[in-house]
Amino acid sequence: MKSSRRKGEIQHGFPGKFKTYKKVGFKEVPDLSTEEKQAELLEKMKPWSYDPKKIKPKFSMMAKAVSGTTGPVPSPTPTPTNVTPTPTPSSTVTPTPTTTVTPTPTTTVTPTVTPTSTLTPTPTPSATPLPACDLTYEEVASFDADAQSYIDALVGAGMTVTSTISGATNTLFTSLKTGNIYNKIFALYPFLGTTAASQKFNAVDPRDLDAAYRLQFFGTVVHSTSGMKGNGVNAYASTNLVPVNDFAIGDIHASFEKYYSQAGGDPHDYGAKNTTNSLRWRSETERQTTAEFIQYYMNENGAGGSTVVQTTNVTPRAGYFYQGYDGSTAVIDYDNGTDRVTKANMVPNTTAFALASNDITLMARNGTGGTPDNGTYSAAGYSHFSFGEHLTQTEATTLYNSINTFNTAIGR
Amino acid sequence: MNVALLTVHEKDLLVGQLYDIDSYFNPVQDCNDNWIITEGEINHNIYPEFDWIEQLPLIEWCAPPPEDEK
Repeated sequence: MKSSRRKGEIQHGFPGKFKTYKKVGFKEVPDLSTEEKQAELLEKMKPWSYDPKKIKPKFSMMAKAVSGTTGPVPSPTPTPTNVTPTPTPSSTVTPTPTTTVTPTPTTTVTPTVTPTSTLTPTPTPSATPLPACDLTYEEVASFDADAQSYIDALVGAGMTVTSTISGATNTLFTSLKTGNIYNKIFALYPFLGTTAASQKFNAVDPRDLDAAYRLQFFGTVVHSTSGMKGNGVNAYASTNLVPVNDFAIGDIHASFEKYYSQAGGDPHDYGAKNTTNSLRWRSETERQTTAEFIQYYMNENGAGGSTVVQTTNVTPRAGYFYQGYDGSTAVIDYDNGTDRVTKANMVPNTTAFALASNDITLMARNGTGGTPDNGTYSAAGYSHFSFGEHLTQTEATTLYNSINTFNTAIGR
Repeated sequence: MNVALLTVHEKDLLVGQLYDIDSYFNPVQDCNDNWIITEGEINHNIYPEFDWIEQLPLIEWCAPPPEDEK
């Protein structure tokens, strides 16, 4: 029912077919007592009695009600097919045989009661109270903030940093810190990504500034997932690390790993030379008359004075190199993580010279004019460089293990 | 390996200039004291003002002798 727009009218029906009714007043009814109203209603009601011959029960509830017995659920009454109904006079009711229901004995189940053992709880005084809910929590290892800064710089340079790389980077930073060598490293170049923009960062200070020892690339440097590679012609990287300003005399180290080595010529892994052409810090592979040498000069006076020289008569090859000098006769020289106890052609020097005043260049030796000396460009490939304070043998081993784990984790 | 030959004036135009993001030209001298740049610098140059390097003549690279620093 819904209200009509016109006052006093109502509509009744269903959508699309309403009928409108108008209130006309109250119906006149006789003033009867309650008993009289009931008697009048009973008289108007049609008398009804149950005749089982006329009413055919179809369902068990009705059957039960009719027969007063219980029985199984009868199958649906089949509907005959292909039967032509015989016209039956409408006024005549043809009795339908009543379905005979055969009661099925009810199985009586006697439940077997199994005694339940009574458990007496034993209080455990030392038990830790459980939390109010079923959830358990495990502390999540925090990501190293410095590793995160480096990763942020890589992402800012457009590099896609995978979970593998970020995890390996975090492990690298935490292991360097656990080994107490993180603060002894001034510059660490892991060469992540495949562009100059991402490989330029010093991981321990990833600001895009010369003061942070951010790299600048010159010539044709090849950037790949393996690292950074020179071309032996004009490719190098400037570190902005100036030994005389950024290092203490007799307290220096350098490490690097080559994934590709170059034979012949005079290629340098890194180097810096004073403007007076007398003081140097460099590492090189050099072909001499009959053999090639891997050698480095941590405290060299090129004018012919005393030098500290480490030379090994081995064929140039790829691998990990660590070169450290503490200002005494002790030179730590790790070759693929193993200390070379016997140092061929070593010339100790206890007089530490001043360090070079040109910045260290990678893949070439920086010259007196502020650019690399011609003929010192390397075509080797490098997966990392580090520069910093002198490290003990234990610390140098930690550095080697940390770098090796990192490179292995990222598939180098 | 081929390299691109530069005049002294062209070399001066390229020194200190970027050819790509974070990558600088680096003219060097070969065994004959010719100034050269590599084909990599030419191929990766992204700055139109240096498009002229694509017209440079190519010569065979001749490595200079190592400097005696001993």
